[in-house]
This record gives sequence, structure tokens and C-alpha cells, in this order.
Amino acid sequence: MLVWSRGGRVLLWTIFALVFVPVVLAPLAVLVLAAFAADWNGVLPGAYTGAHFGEALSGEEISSLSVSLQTAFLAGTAAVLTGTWGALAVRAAPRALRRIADAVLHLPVAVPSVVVGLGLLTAFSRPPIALNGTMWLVVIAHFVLVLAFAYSTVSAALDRTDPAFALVAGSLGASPWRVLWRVRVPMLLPSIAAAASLSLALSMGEVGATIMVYPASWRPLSVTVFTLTDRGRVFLASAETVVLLVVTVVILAGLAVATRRGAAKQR
Amino acid sequence: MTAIGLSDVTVHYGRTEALSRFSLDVAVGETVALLGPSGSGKSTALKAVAGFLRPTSGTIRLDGRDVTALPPHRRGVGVVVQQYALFPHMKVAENVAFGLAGIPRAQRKERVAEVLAMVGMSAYAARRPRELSGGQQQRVAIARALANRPRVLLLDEPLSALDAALRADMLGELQRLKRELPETAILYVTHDQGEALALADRIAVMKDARLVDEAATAELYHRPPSAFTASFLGAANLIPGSIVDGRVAVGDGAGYVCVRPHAVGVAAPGSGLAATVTGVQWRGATYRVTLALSDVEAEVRADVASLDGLPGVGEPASVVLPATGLTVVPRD
Amino acid sequence: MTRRAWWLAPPLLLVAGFFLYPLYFVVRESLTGDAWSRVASSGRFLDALGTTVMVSLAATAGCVVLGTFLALVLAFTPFPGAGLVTRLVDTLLAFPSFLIALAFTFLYGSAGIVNAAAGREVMGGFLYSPWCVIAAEITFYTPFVMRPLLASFKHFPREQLDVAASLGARPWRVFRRVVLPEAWPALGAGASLTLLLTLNEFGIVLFIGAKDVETLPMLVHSFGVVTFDLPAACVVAVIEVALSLSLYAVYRRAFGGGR
Repeated sequence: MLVWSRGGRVLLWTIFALVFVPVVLAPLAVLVLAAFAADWNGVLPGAYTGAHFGEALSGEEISSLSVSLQTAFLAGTAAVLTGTWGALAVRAAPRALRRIADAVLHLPVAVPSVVVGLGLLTAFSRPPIALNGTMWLVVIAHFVLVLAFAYSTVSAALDRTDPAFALVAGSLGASPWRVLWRVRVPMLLPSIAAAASLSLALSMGEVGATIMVYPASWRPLSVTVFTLTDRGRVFLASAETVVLLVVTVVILAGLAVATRRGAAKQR
Repeated sequence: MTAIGLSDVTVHYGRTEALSRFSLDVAVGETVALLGPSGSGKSTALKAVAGFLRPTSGTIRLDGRDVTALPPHRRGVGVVVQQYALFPHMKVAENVAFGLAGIPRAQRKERVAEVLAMVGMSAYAARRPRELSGGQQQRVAIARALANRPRVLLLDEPLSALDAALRADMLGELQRLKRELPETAILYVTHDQGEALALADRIAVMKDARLVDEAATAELYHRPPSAFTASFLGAANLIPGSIVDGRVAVGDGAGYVCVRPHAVGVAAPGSGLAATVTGVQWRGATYRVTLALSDVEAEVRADVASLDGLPGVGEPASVVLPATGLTVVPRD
Repeated sequence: MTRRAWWLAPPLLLVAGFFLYPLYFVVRESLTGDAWSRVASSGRFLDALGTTVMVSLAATAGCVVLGTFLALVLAFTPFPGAGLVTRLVDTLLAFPSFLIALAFTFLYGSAGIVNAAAGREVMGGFLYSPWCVIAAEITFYTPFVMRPLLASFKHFPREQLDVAASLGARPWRVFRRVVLPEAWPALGAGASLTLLLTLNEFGIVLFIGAKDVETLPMLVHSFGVVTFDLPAACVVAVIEVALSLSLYAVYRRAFGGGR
């Protein structure tokens, strides 16, 4: 306990609420309200409608959501596999190489997403590999951007894992492959799921690199939201954003439940 | 003169009652041990005195002043906790000086030197806590608590994180400190009866958030008022029965005859209470023999110097009780 | 040993092919023509550089103050529901930053809630000022400061707070002398990560769409896909990357690793 008097604590909580509500809660609440607003000229919307959601879940908009999901799935899966592989391989490498590899795998975190997009656009718009105008540029951009996060999530979990488990398994006569497959990877599953969740969420909301490389035939939801905002269709944009958040949260919750079930089965 | 006074103090952690209508007085210069198993509420009582938690009801007085509603920083008590809680980023001298913010610099330095000398840590003033051993950290924690010259010192399991040899050393240190601080009231929380017997003028035994018994140390040891105290303090054997005309009548009455293992003798069958030897443990100086009584369901532990001529495990034997020094406690 | 090192090849090759190789092209492209002198001498670039650094420093400072306060309250004077709030903060980390910008247009725009509540124009040109970008970035990035702090507070021994108080220290002194010195690494890590991410932030600036607030990533976007001046975009990108990577190098040196 840091503050001992009841009065002091109540004062602190009041300030907390006064900061937290407008800074964190208000933007979320406003976005949801806007998604249902028919018109909005006063403090609260004048009338409510579900029409924006109807529009958000049909035609061009729904295909945009599907593009986002496919991109997130492809890029996320690749990033989680590569990140897990990398995290395991880094620990087997000699010391000097380990430091360099760790730095390189973390590197994309430090570079602006717009630059990642620009780089892909510059490098792959010409032979020998011309990918401009295809969905692959978008997928690759997302893969690069989420890989560092996936890697660092799994890597941090490996740092926390007691090496005794693998040693004991080895002492029981298990081959390195069996130790990897039956002991180390299962123990990493929660962090792999966390890496998958993070990759998915980041990919769903990515704008910077996407806006540099997307072709008209492969327009993810985040870019659609921007286009709508730019054209002044802010209510529809809000509804799209809410859809994006809900889909993300639902998938994350699903992953969390699946992991918990898996963990329960292990016990 | 009462230095610490708890009356009818009840503490809740959420719904669970961690301390139930607890009352205890500690006089100026007196050392009282709160003794009990883990979860008995002894640490809770100490935390309530320190102000770390607020009682649901009851009053806490320090030197006659009601401090129940005061935060810890206005109570002026010295506290030493189990894990020492030294501030890791401060040097030893800075740790000790932490509580001396209000006094002039020169005087502060003097006081730090004085208390560090008192615990024999003068040479370590410039070290960081992580460079010290457990015992040394403990000494610094004690010096820090004493720097302010508090009239009340609260020690919460101060030796439980040390290994056995160090614990014996520190116990001696604490006895010396106690002599050097005749005006300080000490409340000493422990689950170790040895520490309580060595340090305390009085012992309060606790169980399930309540005070069970409280008396002067020797009194409580020799004439325990309850079965729980008898077994927790000195690990007494409790044999169902009573004492009739100076003789033990096994299985008789509503009480337990209470006898310490070192006072129990073991002999060949026929010279005492019939029993069977169920186990023998060598403890270095003595052997601990466990026996099952034949006439009533009870286990008796006896500490004997030699096994010569005694029945082996599984063989019949007899338990010889001393003629004096037996007490009877009521069954719970 | 060397054979085991080969296991690193696939992930490193992927990073090299999809990240380092494109970066090399950016550098190469930036060297075509007189792009460097054109960009360096343009007021637009210098303005963007100034705005980027200013916005990112101000936003980071705001995040540090706000995040420290919120994390302190959540960790050390918890209230019923504090766990839920912590989880909400964690979820926010996974949301896209542009949602804050979108919400800000409803809150602080000329027809926004604040003006409507006041009954007159009180927000002035706030929405299109650098302050609005700073406010939006503070809102979005405060959780990035809170998370490492909360993790470090979770392992902070409560007895130290108790003992410090019993030694006569008031809450403020306990915070300054006991809690803060031990929270420095976490606070430093959170602050540098926030500095890095705000330096690179794009979504918020793009969505607010203020003409006068142009940051370096916006400039890259504008040169790259709006006016199709690829060499100029690459020059700005190289400068951005140099700035971010030097900051990142300092961050890794100081805190020894990623998140």
C-alpha cells in the first residue's frame, strides 16, 4: 500500500477516473456511438440506425474484411512459424552469432512501417521479382512487420522457461528431436498463441505499409476505413472500425480459449 | 506502563477473518513473542500494530495514544520483516539513514554510525544490500529499524530466512540487543518455539486467528493451560487420562496428561505403561523412540540417551512417566 | 556447433530477403539524381523533421507522466475493477492507432461533442494543430509505458513500502526514494519504445489529416505514392531509418533486448 489514508486513496481514484475516462474510455465509446449514429449535431447523436453496419457487412466492404482476414492469416501464420523457429534456433547458435541474429530478427520493429512499404515497392516493382499490383506485396509487408513481435514474444517465453525440463527429458533418453517436439514446443504453446494473437491484431490494423503497396484488387479493411474517412463518410468508417475491432477481439478470445483448453488437457 | 496495547482487534482480509477479537498488552521494556503455526494470525496482529493494515474493529494504542486510524508513517515504530526489505538501490548507510530525514545532517551521520556499530556492521556502510549475506542484511534491517530510537520494535519472523547455524548466532545477537535496549518494547512474531523461549519475557500462543494462551515464558512452558499450547510449545506428549493421588490413571477423566519427551523413560515390559515400540530415530545426542500405548490410543515420544537394553522396533515395551512435573490439560 | 548455426539460416534469409534487401533498394534509389540536395534544401523536409521530433518528444513526455500515474494507482492503490482496467489497457495495445484519430474527430472537431456541449466554438483549430496529434499519440501510447511499469510493479516487494512508511516516510517520499529508483529500467524501456514508435507513427497523422502537421512518415507517403517522387521519398526514408535505428541501438544497449 502506498497511500494509507482512505481520503487520500479516494482522491487518487477520483483523479484516476478523471484521467482514464476521457483519455481511454471516451474515444472507444464515441466510436461505437458514431457507428450507430444517423446524424450527429449535438452532444449525442440525434438518431440511431443500424444501416451503417448493414453497409459495412455487405458488398465491397465485406470483401475488404475478407481481404484483411486472409492477409492476417497468411502473414500471421508465416510470422509465428518463422518467429518460433528463429527463437529456438537463436538459442542453439554460437554466442557471437546469437547476438547478431537476435538484433536482426528484432530490427523491423525499429523501422517505420511506411519505409517497409516503400522498400518493398522499390525492390519488387522490377525484375527479377516483380510483385507490384499483386496481393503478395501486402502479405509480405505484414509478415515483415509482425515477425519481430512474434519472435520477441516467443523468445521472451523461452528466456523464462526453466532449461531443467529439456535436460531432464534428455537424461531420460529422449533424442533432441523428441525433446523439441514433446517437451519444448508444447511448453511454448501459450506464448505461440500469444504471438499469433498479437500478429493477427497488428496485421488487422496495419495502415502505413499497406497504403504504400496495396493494389486495387486487394484492399484491406484499414485502408477502406481511411478512404471512407477521407471522403467524409465518417459514420460508415466508424462502423467499419467497430467491425474490425469486434472481429479481432472475437478471434483473440477464441485463441485464448483454445490455449486454455490445450493447457488444461496437458495437466 | 503499557507500550503496545491491542484491545478486541479484529482484522478481515476480504471475507476471511485473519484476526479475531485479539487483545494483548506489551509493557515498556518487555519482550512478548507471538507464537503460532502459519496462518494463525500472528503476523496480522503485528501488521495491525505497525499500521500496515486497518482493523475492522478494536483499538490499538502505542504509549497510551490511540493510533488505530494513523498511517504507519505517523506511528514511529521500528519494523523488521522476514525478507528484510532493504532498499536495493541504496547503500547500507543510506538504508539506515532513511528514517532519519528529519534530523540535522551531522547528527544523522552520528546516529547511523552508532546503530551500525550496535549490530556490528560498521565496516559495511558503503556496501549495497546485494553484496551482503543473509545474516548481514538482517543486521542492517535491524539497525535501520533502530535508527530512530523507536520505543516499540516489531520483529516479524526475523530469523526464518536464515540457515540453522546463522539463526543461532543471530538469536544471541538479539538477546544482547534486548539487554542494550531496556526501554524498548518488543513484539516478536515467530513459529519457532526455540526463538520464543530464548527471547521472550512472555509468550502469547495463537491459533486460527485467535489468542489461545498467554503467560510468562517459564510458566507457559511448565504449566501449559491447554492441549494446543502444550504440544506447540515443547512438543509435549498428550496421554488421555488424569492424575489420581499422584499417579497417572490412563484413559481416565476428561483431560490429557502432559509430559515432555525428555522426561519420558522407556524400559522392558512390566515396569510402566504397556506399549509397543513403533520407531526409533537417531538424533545425535539422543534417540527419539516412538511408542504406541496398549491401553489407550495414543502415541508417546521419548528422548533417551542410549538404546542399550531397550526393546527394538515392533517389540513390546513400557513407558515410564516421571513422578513429578506432570500437568493435566483439558481436551479441546 | 557450426552445424547447429545453420538452423538460423531460414529465418535470417527471410528477413534479409524481405526487409534488408528492400532497404538496400531504398538507399540505392535515394542516390539517383539530385534527390539528396533537393530534399535537404526544401523547407518542407526541415519542417517535417522539426514537427516529427517535437510531436514525438512531447507525446512521450505525456505518456510517461500519465502512464506512471495510472500504473501506480493500478498497482499500489488498487480499487474494485482494477484488474478489468488493466486488461482493457492490454487490449488497447492490440488496437490500431487510427481509431483514436477517428474518435478525436468526433470529440474535438468543429461539429464535435466538446463544442456541442459548450454551445459554442471552444476547440478552435485544435483538431488540425500539432497538439491534437500529440494528444492522440498520448492516448494511444500511454499503455506502452504502463505495461512494463505494471510488470515491474508486480514483482515489487510490498514490504519495502510498508517498511519505508514505518520509517516515517510519507507516500510522496516513498514513491520518489523507494519506488521510482527501482522502476527506472521499466520506465526507461517503456519511454524509449514509445519515443521510437511515436517517431514512426503514421496512422494517427494520416487519419487526422491536418495539412499543417506533416511528419517524416507522412512525407515518405506523400512523395512515394501521391506525387510519385520515388527518389525523394527514399531520401526521407533513409533519414528516418537512420534516426530510428540509432535510437533503437541506444535502447537495445540500455535495456538489452526487445519488448
